[in-house]
Amino acid sequence: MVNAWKILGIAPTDDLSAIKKAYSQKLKLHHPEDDPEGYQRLREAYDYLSKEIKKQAAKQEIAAAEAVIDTPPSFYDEVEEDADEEDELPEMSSFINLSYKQGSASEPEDVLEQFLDKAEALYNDFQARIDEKNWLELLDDDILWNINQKQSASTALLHFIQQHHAMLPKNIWLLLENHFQWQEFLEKEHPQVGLEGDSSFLDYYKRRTGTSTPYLSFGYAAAAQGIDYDEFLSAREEAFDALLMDDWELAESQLQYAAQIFSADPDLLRMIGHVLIKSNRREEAIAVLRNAIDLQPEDIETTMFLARVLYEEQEDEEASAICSYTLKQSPDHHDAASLLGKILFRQGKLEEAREQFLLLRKLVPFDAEAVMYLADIHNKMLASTVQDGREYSLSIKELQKELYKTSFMGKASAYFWGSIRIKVFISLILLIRCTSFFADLFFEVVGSAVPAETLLASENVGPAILACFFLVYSIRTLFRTWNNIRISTP
Amino acid sequence: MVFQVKKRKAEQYINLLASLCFTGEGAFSEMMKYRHPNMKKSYALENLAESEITDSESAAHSLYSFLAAEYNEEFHRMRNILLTLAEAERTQYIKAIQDEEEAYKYSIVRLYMNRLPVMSIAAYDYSVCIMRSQEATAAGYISKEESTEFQIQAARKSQETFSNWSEYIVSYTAGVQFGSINTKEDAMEYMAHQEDSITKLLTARHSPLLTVDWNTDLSHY
Repeated sequence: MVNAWKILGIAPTDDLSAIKKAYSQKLKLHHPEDDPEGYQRLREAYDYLSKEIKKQAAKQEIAAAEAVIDTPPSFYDEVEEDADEEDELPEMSSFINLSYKQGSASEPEDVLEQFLDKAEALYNDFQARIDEKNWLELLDDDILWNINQKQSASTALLHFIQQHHAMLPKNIWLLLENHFQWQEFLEKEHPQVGLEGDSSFLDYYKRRTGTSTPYLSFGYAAAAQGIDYDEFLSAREEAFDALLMDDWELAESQLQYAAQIFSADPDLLRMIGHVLIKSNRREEAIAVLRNAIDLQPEDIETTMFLARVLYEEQEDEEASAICSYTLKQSPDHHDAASLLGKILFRQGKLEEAREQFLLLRKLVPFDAEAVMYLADIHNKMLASTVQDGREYSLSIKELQKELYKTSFMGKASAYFWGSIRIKVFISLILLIRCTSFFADLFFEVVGSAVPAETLLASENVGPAILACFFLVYSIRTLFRTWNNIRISTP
Repeated sequence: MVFQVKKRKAEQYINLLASLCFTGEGAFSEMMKYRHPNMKKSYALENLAESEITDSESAAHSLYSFLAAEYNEEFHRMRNILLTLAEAERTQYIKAIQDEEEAYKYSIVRLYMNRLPVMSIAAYDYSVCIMRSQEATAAGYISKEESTEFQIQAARKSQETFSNWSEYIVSYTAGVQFGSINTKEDAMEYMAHQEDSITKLLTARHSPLLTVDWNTDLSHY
């Protein structure tokens, strides 16, 4: 990762504490809730650099330990020199690895216990728990630098997290996952550490670290005093999971319970808004969403949610104000363009509505709603222009073109070129022939060249009947063809 | 006589639902005729084979899936996931998807998740169900009676879910983009070919949408 140093804003160094300090500084600029992309880049850079440095440190430690074992003890030299002296057994301590302290058999356990105590103290202090800097400090503990003890510490911490059904912000979950790779560990099922078959915790863990899990805020609850934080967060998470599973009843009950504990949480209020809309309680939803926006005015998602509900409630003025504001902040917000277009259309402001849907077409050329509304708008404009003489930015011809209208000759041409019908030509020929036959008969009678009685002779009746039949057939076919052309295009 | 008229109207209604599946040049002209232009056995067999329907069993399975609106269920499931994420998180989520087709589908869900009538693309499922059942009959995979049953059920569900033709057409078009197309380029191409038919359906003086009532009585079909 070439630009990791650039992302952290420090010169290359092997000082881990300097890297951590730089990371903490940058965290202020890239909070996961406000700038998830920036936070992602920052975290990846930190994780990469800290792993590299720890790897190098571990290698150095191993190399140092091996050097102690491999280096011939000075004892041999002394033995050679003193070969003639008494045979004394070398002191065992000379052969003992100097990195192992005598009488320190219980130390690793003490160190682990101290580490877990720190973790527990951190977890029990809610305000400290949700601060990523504190976890960075915990993860800098000496035990995690020791390659012999790191795995034990990791497993013990995982066990602690699991037992407490930990409620942590997503950025902390991701920090732990990047540091320990617990998902891989859990998937391999390690029965010896009591996590065997606990697929429900694995699912829980994967949901907390997955990309489909939002960064739900913890800060609002943290600012409250004297509430049961874990109970609130647990209910909120249950509600979130229930919404994902389409279990609206469970979601509502959990949200109500969470709201009883603490209600000034914008994420909670937004979920409540969804539940209320689902059950058609729009007025209540509006009130709840307004509260959410008061807490988090910059949240476009919630403001657009409110705008949609206001539109359903015919509150066009406020809804359009929200859409206009959203488009100013985010010009390619297709929801805002669409909703504003619908509002203007409903208000009969066809030109302005057209503008919005053209904007939408520009953003999304295949947008179904834009095509539908533009068709309707152009149709209304055309009708208004033709009937009321109203003028729009498009002429009648331009509107007809938008509506794919063509002249009769255009239709006929398209019809004949697109779907040549042999029977049409045969019908034309028959029509001409039969007409000619009856015309000849008529002139013969009128001209008195042949008496009428002769015309009614049997040999003339047959052809006459046949001619009638063909005449009717050809007229019927040509009439149908004309009708098809007339209605085949507008 | 009245029965015959009602039966014909029900037939027109159901065929019109199916005719939304027609695409390309001249699609609108074919929609005007209220019947499939080329429902020959060979055509039906070829068309069904493209959807991996090669016998009665696969035909029935496919028809039941569409009747259950499985594409709509999938759309809904994806929508639920995106609904809980903030806008920036949705971008991240879709970017992180490795499978291009899945990423495209999520982008379609994201496009329509707050805008579709009744938040549903079930119109696509129901129209395809009717079209496929007609093809399956022509191919000899299912009987006419079975086909009629599928068609009536799909038509009834359409009337229950949507309020008018406009809602249905928007839902159908979004459904095609979700269920039948795999890339944005193909979606653009589809719309480029289909825009005139959609526009004419909605606005033409002789549009079948003006002559066929959305709430047509289907009891005589």
